[in-house]
Amino acid sequence: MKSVKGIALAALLGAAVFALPLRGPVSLIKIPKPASPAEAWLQKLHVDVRQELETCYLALAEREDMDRLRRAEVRFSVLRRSQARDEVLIVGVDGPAALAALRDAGRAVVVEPGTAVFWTEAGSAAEAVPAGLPRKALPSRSIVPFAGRGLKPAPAPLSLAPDPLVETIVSLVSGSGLAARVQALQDFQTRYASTSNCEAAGQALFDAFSALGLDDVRFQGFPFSVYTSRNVIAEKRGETYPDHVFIICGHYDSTSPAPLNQTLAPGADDNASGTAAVLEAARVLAAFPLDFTVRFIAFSAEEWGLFGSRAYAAAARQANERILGVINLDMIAYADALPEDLQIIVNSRSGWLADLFLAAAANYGTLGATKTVNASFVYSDHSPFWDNGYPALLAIEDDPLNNPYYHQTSDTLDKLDLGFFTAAARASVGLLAELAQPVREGHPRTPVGLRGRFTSYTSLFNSLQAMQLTWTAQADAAGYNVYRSETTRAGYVRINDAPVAAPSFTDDDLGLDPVYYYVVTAVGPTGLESNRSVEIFPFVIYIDGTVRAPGWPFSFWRRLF
Amino acid sequence: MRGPRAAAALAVIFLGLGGTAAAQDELSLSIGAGAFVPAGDLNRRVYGSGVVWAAELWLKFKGPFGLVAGLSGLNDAGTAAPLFDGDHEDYPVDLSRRTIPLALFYQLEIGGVSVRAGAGLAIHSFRETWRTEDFDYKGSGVGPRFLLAARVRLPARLSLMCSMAYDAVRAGSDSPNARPVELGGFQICGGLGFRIY
Repeated sequence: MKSVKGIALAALLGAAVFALPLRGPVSLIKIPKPASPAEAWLQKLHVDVRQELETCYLALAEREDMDRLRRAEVRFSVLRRSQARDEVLIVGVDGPAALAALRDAGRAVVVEPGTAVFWTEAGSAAEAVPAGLPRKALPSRSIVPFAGRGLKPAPAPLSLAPDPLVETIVSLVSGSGLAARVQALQDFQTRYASTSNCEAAGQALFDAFSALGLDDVRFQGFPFSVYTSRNVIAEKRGETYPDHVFIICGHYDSTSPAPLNQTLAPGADDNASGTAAVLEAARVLAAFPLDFTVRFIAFSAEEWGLFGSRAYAAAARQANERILGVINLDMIAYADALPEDLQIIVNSRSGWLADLFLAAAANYGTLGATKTVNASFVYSDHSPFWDNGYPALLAIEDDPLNNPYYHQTSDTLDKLDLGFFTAAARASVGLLAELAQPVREGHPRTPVGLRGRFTSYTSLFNSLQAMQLTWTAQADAAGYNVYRSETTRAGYVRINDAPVAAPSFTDDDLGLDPVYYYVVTAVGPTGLESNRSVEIFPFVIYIDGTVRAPGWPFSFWRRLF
Repeated sequence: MRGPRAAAALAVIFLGLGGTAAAQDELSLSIGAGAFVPAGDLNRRVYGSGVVWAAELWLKFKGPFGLVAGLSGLNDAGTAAPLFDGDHEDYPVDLSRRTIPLALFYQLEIGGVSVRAGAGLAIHSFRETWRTEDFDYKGSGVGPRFLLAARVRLPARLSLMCSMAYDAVRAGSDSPNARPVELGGFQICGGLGFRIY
């Protein structure tokens, strides 16, 4: 028996040694962005890119990776040699004083104006960052699979016709209700993640969502530093597309200068305001059946480095969830000057979402809104969605922030502008309702099962490209309309002359650059038209951001010759 | 179209010269129809087999050799080939082809049957159109032709003719598909011959 045990032990040891990663030391490097978008070469060179900023990428690289980059004549600089795979934060530094404070707390290297990477030789980097500085932990996974991907936005400014049903929904948003919710959150004294008050606030949010009669309310626990906390996730399931999800979210934790953050961090603007708007959106939309699923999420530990949203977005990607868009509300109630406008911040691949927000703001209220494309604004809960390839926007009152009570014990309800706050919440609910599509009584159901197949027909000397669309037939439809657009979610043009009777349509008027987005609607016997189906875009989005029809004509020739 | 016209003129002159030569033995005309089986995969997939007609002048010299020239035509209809399997739309297409063959043959008498084997060139002009789309392509090409024919004499200068020909021609590199395709194939015809002298 001894010899058998010995052999087994040796085998186990051998397997363990074999399983050890034979990897060299890893460095944190910065790769400046080229003049033209070219994420393709990052993938070709197998660079482990962890963060996209406006002017550069941050990546982890072993010695051989760096040799490969040098051979490819890719410029880069080493920010930290022998980077242990531990905590590195990206920190916003808006001036020399902030940078000096950060350098007093640990090691900091400026990577572009206003942005530094930060780590400590010992202890928690998240806890060492001076209060008041926005921060985000370096993502734990490569973002390369999602780099460069995006949908083509409509030419701005986008003008959409107001929808009377959405106007009704938006009118239900209550300013006094928003104020009451902010007060309730402020009354917890502090919601600093790691305190029991924060957990109690999370429980209160859970109870508030539960009282609305939504389809599901749950906690999502996650670890951060040496603590744990919980996101609160409520869901109103879509009647037509339960697996297609839009998210409205905000973080409910707060902060103030240590050690006061343990006892007093009212966080009325940051971010009881966003959380209250999420709750109000849930209250208003709870009564309306929707085509698409909507999730209302209150994240925790945002102030520590977006830990709650990081856990959520990573899990969503792991489960390959179809998150179609994210509206992140963070500080939407303080007006430093009137009339205040809301900043809508997106990365280049979420631009269409900002355009729709601006259109909704114009349609459903008096709110002024400004779109800013800035991949370096990573200090709120939209950023982990970007890292996982989901389109997301941040709605925030100012960029740069101009709230003197920001991260202070004086960030209380009395400092907020309720008119601006209500307008911001209404625009957000308006956009969410437009996206999720309220089901309309008396209208046919929204078509489902839309599929597109790009195909090519060829004779000896000519070829025709065509998009074959099919969808599920439904009994309440007398016919169907087919729409297409050159941009996503706007600018649709009907391409059938009269409603088509069968649930299929071939679009063979594609021209030479067949890149279209398609939706279909059902037309009832009385002529009433349904909501639009989910949008499909049967073409390939390449890693460098270009879009092309899949593989034609080469796959054809490979097949026949 | 300049090539086929020039070739036709050349064929007429060639036969005329042959006809004036002292070595001439027999001139006959044959008319027939039959089937064309394309050699190219794409041609087979789009059009399949087609019906072909042919009219040829056979000039036999004294001795076993002779010349043959003529005109043949193919009008075929088909459906554009879809890229993927499964349900698809039908896009009807038409192909017409005119061919002027010019070949040297060797004649062998076996019993009462004259067997002719030969080789030469064939000049093709063709046009393809889509019935429902505004697609129209015209082109031309030249390729080798190989033939085998048999003739059985009947009374009154008539004869029964049977011929088989193989053409190879790749054309269409300047078409919208930007790729030459094989237009040739096997052609089998049967018909009547008439001896002029």
